[in-house]
Amino acid sequence: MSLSCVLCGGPLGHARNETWLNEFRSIYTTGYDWHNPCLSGVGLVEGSEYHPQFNAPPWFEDRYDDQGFATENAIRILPSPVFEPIPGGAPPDVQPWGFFFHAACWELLRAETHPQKVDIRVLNDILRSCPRPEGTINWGHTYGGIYASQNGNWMNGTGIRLGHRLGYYRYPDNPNPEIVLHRQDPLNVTPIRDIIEQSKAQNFERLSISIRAPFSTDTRNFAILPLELRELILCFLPSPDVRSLMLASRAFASIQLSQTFWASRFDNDYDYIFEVRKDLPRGTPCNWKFLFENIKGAVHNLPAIRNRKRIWELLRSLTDAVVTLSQSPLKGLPARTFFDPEIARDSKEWNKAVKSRDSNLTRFSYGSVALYSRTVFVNQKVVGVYVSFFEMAGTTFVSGIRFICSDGQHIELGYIIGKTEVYLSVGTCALDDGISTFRGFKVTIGERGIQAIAVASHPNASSPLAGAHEGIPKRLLASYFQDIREVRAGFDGFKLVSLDIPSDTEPQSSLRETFCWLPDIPHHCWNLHGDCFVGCASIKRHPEWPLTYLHFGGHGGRHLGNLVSLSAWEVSGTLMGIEVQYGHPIDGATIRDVGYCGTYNERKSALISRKTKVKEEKTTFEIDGPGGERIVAVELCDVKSREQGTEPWFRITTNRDRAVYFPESMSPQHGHPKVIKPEGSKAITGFYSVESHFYSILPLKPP
Amino acid sequence: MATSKQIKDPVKLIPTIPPSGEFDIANFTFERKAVERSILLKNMLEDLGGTNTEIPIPNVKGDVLLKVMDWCDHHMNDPPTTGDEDNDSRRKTTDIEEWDQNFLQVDQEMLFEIILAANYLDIKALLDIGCKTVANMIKGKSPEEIRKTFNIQNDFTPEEEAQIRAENEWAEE
Repeated sequence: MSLSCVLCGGPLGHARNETWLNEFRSIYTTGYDWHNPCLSGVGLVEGSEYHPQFNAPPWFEDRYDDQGFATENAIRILPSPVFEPIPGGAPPDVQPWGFFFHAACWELLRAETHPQKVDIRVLNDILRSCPRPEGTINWGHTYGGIYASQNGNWMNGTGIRLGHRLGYYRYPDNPNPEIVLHRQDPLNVTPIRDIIEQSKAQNFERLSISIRAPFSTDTRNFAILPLELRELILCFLPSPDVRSLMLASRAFASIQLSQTFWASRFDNDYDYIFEVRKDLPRGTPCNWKFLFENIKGAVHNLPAIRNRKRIWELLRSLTDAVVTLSQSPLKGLPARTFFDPEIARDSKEWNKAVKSRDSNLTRFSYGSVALYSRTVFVNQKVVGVYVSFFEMAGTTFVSGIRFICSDGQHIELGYIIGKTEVYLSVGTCALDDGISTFRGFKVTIGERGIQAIAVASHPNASSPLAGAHEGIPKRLLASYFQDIREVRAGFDGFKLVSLDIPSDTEPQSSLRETFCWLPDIPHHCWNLHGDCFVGCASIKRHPEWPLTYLHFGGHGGRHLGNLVSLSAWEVSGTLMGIEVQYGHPIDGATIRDVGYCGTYNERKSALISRKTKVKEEKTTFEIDGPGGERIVAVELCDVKSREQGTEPWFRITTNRDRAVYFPESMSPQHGHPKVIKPEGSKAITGFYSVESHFYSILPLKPP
Repeated sequence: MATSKQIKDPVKLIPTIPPSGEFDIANFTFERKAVERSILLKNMLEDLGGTNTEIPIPNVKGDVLLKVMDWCDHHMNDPPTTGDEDNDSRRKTTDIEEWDQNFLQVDQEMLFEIILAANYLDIKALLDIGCKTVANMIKGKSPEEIRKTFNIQNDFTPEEEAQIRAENEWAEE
């Protein structure tokens, strides 16, 4: 397998002319010593492209080409841990394995983290937290566009799947389209060094801050600040914002900028030209304006600098993460995981919001992994919680929870990051009787972790969600019967990946409280007829697949009189989606659907592609809703009734004894149908199904 | 408030512009270590020597002085800055720690007064976070949005605006 640099996404090794692509470092772990990673020295990738060998000096100060460095002292590092002996390898428990990156990218990471040092343990935990498909890490970005990506419905639409690396990647405004920018050595910046030297040597005008005509008459707003303070504000702004401020305020437009301002551009626009900070410490006499103007002109024409900028921007959230997390240790009492096997197991039963991976990282291509597990005990009444968040590659995740008890005690669980905290009061989710006891959570579960949390005082009452929740599956994790006295959570290197509360003494079997739902947990008044749900086998196997619903009847059935048709979409006899039509728009729409309706494409379903040339069919059953016709019975069945690739059908009957099968080719002799017939005059008001990327719609059930 | 604590080594600051409302000079007694966050006052204290020192503070309103001293009190045990700015802050961006962000959630008039007071009293860290707070209020906004945020009237003539645009072409991405 060809490996890529986990920092920049570029190829590792096998470059003929670009030496920097062949030189690597690794953060490696020896065997199962999970919590003590090391940084290797600089090694040279050897072997063939598809069987590369990573041999490096074990000590970070050494290089493979150092005089006196003996090749036999290099260690062979594998890309993942091993649990069986491998030919020619060390015994598994001492076999080094790790993450690989270009030696040059490591230097950029160091420069961007400066003056703090890169905390190797924190960085290793972050690297271990990200899925590793096809030889690189999936951070949730495309490495600045050098990888193809597939968004769409990949894991509920909350993640991206990395495709292949684009060998011809070019920036759109690259003046030299023949150059593949991601192969340019980001440390090869000789022209920049030349400009720095010129600016040192040059005689220069000692620009000092002043007011210039004709904009000097203003005395309002910002003008109450002395000139040097106005310039200080400018120094903290990127140049486009400086321009906007100049255009907004006479007090700024009137400023003649000093050398101090021009020097500040290298903390803002050009922070990635770190040679400036290194060679010209702040306060150094220099023609900063000359330097700024010349470097601005040069960077557009230097592919190496363009590549450096790409990598620098990719590393920004990683360096922020490393610095923040090195100051935010994981809080809570340690519990056992695969990576903490020395901690004793407990025999408690837990109700788990997420079935997180607790495995050995060898086949970790999507989802999340629980590196750590932590427990807290909350013996006092909880009056509220603070939720901490962490952003990685543009996606925000919950990182920790701080419980506030009635006696003022704070109990911390996870990575507590004060500046991001959002407060949720248990008091805001009181039931009608005014009781507001902490009884659990409502959480949104993305592909890679928990993204929002609400506190629940009851399975029917929760606070607003803190965090990202639009279009992300939600799961209720609450207890009917007891106060929550203990909470357990799984964490990876920077976020919350699972959340557990003690199981009720009486097990809950309700679909509403057991599975994830999209777009939200169904209203507690809806009758889900859970005992007739024929998709249980599938969803128990894949609890990350949410249930999703089409509640066409509205609360209390108020929209039933507006219903004019119900249609099913099918492909090759497989039910794909259900669509209803109203006579008059409701919330601006006359059509609502669930599943995959309309013309199918690869974005919607991996089963359907241009190559398969399948054709979708729509069967419509007209309903005289305005005339009082209602669906009063549903028969439904899953012919195959297996975990994957199910084949459901259903039949609806109205109060006018009209009936239809969906798909039309099905009939009662297929499988063993279940019948739902609401009591008295009640009508069917909706359907729900399993939302799955791979297998389309699964067995349906009317509420 | 700084004055609600037991003060070991008190310094009395006497604002020449008293605060609005009831003026209790007892509220203006602060821990010496907190007062010394101001380089101006630190130098004055060194010049004056002795204890139970009283220092008149012109140019800073009493309300603002109390607010500034709140900040000094919270930060009095911060490690001294090294003077090497590259090592004192990881990046000269607009990162502000949580307590300071909350501290500076004040109206614009008070924010500008705090900046002016920090400048006068020579409290560099407070001056920086004050200016960073203003910068954060500007970042990503269009000129019109900036005017709206700071209640600035657009009094540029089209010619003046064209001139500013031309002079600031360097700032375009």
